[in-house]
Amino acid sequence: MSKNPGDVFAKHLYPDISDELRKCSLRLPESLAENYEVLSCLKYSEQTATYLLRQKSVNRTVLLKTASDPIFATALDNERNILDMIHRQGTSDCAAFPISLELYELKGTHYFIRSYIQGRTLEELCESNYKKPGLPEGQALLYILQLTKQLHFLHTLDPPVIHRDIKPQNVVVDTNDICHFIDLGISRFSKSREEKNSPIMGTQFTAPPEQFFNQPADVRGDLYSLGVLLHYCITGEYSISEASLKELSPALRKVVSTSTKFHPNQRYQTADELLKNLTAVHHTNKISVAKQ
Amino acid sequence: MNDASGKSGITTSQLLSMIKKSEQFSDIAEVYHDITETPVFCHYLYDIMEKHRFSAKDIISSSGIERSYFYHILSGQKMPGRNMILRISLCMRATLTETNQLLRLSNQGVLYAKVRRDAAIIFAIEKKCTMQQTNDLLLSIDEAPLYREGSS
Repeated sequence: MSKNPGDVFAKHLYPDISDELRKCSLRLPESLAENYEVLSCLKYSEQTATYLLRQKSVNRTVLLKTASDPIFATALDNERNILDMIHRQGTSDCAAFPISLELYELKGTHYFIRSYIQGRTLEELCESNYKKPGLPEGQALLYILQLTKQLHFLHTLDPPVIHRDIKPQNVVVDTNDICHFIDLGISRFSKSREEKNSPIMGTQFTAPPEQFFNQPADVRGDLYSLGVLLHYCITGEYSISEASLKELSPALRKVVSTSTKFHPNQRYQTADELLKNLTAVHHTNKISVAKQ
Repeated sequence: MNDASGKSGITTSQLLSMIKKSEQFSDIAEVYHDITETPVFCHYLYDIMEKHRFSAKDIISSSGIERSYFYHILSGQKMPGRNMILRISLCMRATLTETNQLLRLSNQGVLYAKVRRDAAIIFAIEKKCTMQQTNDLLLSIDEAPLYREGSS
């Protein structure tokens, strides 16, 4: 190709309408349009969409999620409540979580605005590797250690918050290499009673087996998902097999196997327990690297 | 869409029209005895490689995919993600139809022209761009690339 393919594509196929396409023709309700301007559309479906907005007063980028389907709308409300509850704690642990800014409803569509965390999802990081999917074990371990601490924070709130949807698409690594859980839409307070599990369940790849038998979610389900996530970050695979486990260091193999046992009773029972075991692996691996 | 199905060489569209016409499934169940296999991703990949005359070694060197990982894909031990498949497809100069079939067989979404990033990749396939050119194109229009250089 003699010309830069990018120029040809942009100019001839997506010319000046590319701006409109990016915005996906979203018109903000008046009261929001006063304070925000649509920058681009990140995701779009009939029921729910995600956009980047510019908050005019402070000239910063924020995230908007819209939902017209009642189930997705409930998830937005839920996410707002959980984020608010998290930040009410006022501790340093809150810093990792997005801040809810506004929740607005107009004619059946819910609009939820929260702070925007710039970075790449764990999925994108792992899948866009040049040679093969997956991160070096040391890097993956550091990320999962961060996430385990955040999970410990959620699980020890009063009432405890179960995440229920831990997967590589729901973790963003920011420009300072800090991990953030970004979608708490189906998280639950563990004591809440409406537990006919909502139709939106966790993704089948990382969801704990008991979720498919309609068991109430508990902390050990989150720990299962975290184990699958750790394995995924290193091997690029969701399904755990003897072969895939061989790609992990012996110390880590044991931790991943324990976290992902079929029966919750055989897994680590708390995030703290998992944290201790992961930290031990981290030290073991550091020592063996130092010895080489 | 043609996929060679055993000795009868029956196509998917022929199968569909038989299913629609028959009153009972048992009428056509016979046909399925002749079909030796439903298409499997790694077998189809191998067929396309043969068709375009690309060996594993060729694809490994042009795509930058790690050798052992690529052989795991070929043997069916590992299933690559969407970006990986697109990289392999571009290196082989596979057609859009073949690329979408590869995506379908690995349970990934096919390339959909309404999605801007997909449209750019379709454009690159049609223009016979290389994997690097396609990656540069995506970066230049502010879309997520297929791969990032410098990552291990």
